[in-house]
Amino acid sequence: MDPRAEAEFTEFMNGRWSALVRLGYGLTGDQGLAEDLAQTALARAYASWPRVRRAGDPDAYVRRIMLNANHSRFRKRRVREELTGRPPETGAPEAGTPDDRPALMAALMRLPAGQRAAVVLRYWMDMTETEAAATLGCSVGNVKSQAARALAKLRVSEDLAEGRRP
Amino acid sequence: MSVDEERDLRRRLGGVLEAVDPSPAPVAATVRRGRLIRIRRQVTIAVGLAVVVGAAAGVPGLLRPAPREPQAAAKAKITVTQLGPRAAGGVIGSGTINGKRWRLVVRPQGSGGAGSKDLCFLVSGAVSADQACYGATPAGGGHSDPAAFNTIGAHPAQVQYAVVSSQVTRIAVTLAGGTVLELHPTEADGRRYVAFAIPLPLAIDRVIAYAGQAEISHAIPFSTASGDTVGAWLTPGQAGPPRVRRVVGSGFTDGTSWSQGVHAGPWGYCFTGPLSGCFDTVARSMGNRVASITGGGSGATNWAFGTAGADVRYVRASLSGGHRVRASAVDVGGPRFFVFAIPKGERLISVGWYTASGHEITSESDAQIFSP
Repeated sequence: MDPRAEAEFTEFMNGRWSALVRLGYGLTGDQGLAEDLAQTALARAYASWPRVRRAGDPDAYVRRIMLNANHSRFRKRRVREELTGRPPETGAPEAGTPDDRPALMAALMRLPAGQRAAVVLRYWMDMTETEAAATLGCSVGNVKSQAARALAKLRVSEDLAEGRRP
Repeated sequence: MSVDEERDLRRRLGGVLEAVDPSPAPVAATVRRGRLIRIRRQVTIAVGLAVVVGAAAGVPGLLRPAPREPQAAAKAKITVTQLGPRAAGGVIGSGTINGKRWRLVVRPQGSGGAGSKDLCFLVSGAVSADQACYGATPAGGGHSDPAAFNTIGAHPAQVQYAVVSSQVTRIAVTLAGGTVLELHPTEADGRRYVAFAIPLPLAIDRVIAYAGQAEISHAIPFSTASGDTVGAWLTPGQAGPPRVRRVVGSGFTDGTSWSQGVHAGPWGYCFTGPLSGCFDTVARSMGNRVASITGGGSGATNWAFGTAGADVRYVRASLSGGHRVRASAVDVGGPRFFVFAIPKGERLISVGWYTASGHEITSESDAQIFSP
């Protein structure tokens, strides 16, 4: 890759890293996994950077890879790379912050992956239904139904009921 | 908490996700991974062509790890600084390559959860700047081996660093060409480390761990063009598995040729192809199991890789598209290995292990892994 493209990728990665890790956290509930997903997606973007750049929307490309990778996580038993992972974090709330975060994450993690992705894209990334459908590779109707089902489940979630503050 | 209102969910979700504090962007490590992905794609294409052009030469030739440049061994001048018993400023390794200085620093950083700190390894100087962070214990730190090695950095040099056990007093690393690097552990944050850096074309011949003057065990790394992997440790006099390399599977899936190699040897069992890495064991049998499934996502081709007992001759897998796949369990000097491709858009449902007479010995369902 030529130095200009390399510099462009570095700038892109530095600019998107935090948001991608947060997207990953919304999808997995685990910061270690989230960072791994983000790095995997960005490494693939780097491998095809000239093409990704030409396509005009590298953000969408990287998000799409992250969502796909999340559906099929690397499973390794006793393979050496397994040891390089970062252990799951408990995500304990910081002092002075609302303590319903673990409850919300627990409720999110109980949603099927498709519904969780729809919630994160629509209600955290503020994507339109059309944008979310393009990212998820499904129809607008599917996004609508996934999001509606997710909201219905969250309304009756026991996790949220337990985490409810007086 | 109420989720009746979408804006309420937006607000609370924002509160959760904005509170996430990501580590610094690992640009160098990501670029290195990206380059490897690109190289793998190029190699896959090259292997496909080579199979067509050079079938008469036999496939095993394609398995040979890329040769390293022996001339580099003679030319490179490598030094490793002997550090004190305690790492000053977190420096756990330093030295020079052809007069250019490098150093490796370990630093606790951020929160690893439950009040613990992450350990971040930062390399700089004559090698590419790179950083790797781990929660609480670096890779392999809890291993019973005398030293658990990891690599950091990228072209033009590889940095190998290890957490060493308490009985190890020094480690001798013999490089191709005969240069021997003597490493003495230095302690940082309660762990003992050794580290060295060599130009990437140079291969490591042998690593020996000593307690005083006595050899505890030795390791013979698996070498490829992208670096060395210190896998299994052998006790003095132990030979490890014989050097055998086999193609355990190959095919043409989703428009791409692929070939998976397994290399048995004193390093244990290492893999080249869609799945890479090593089993750091010298066991002659590893049971019937699916060891790994690549995680390319449903939009990409994936591969399932596993082991089989001596009485198994093939496995059968069911895929979500209704397809059934049969893959041979190939003997690689004792253990048997198999691999098969999972085409784009499909997922693995189950795998069964069969004897030559078609008797199913056992089966494993993978449905739960891929369930949405």
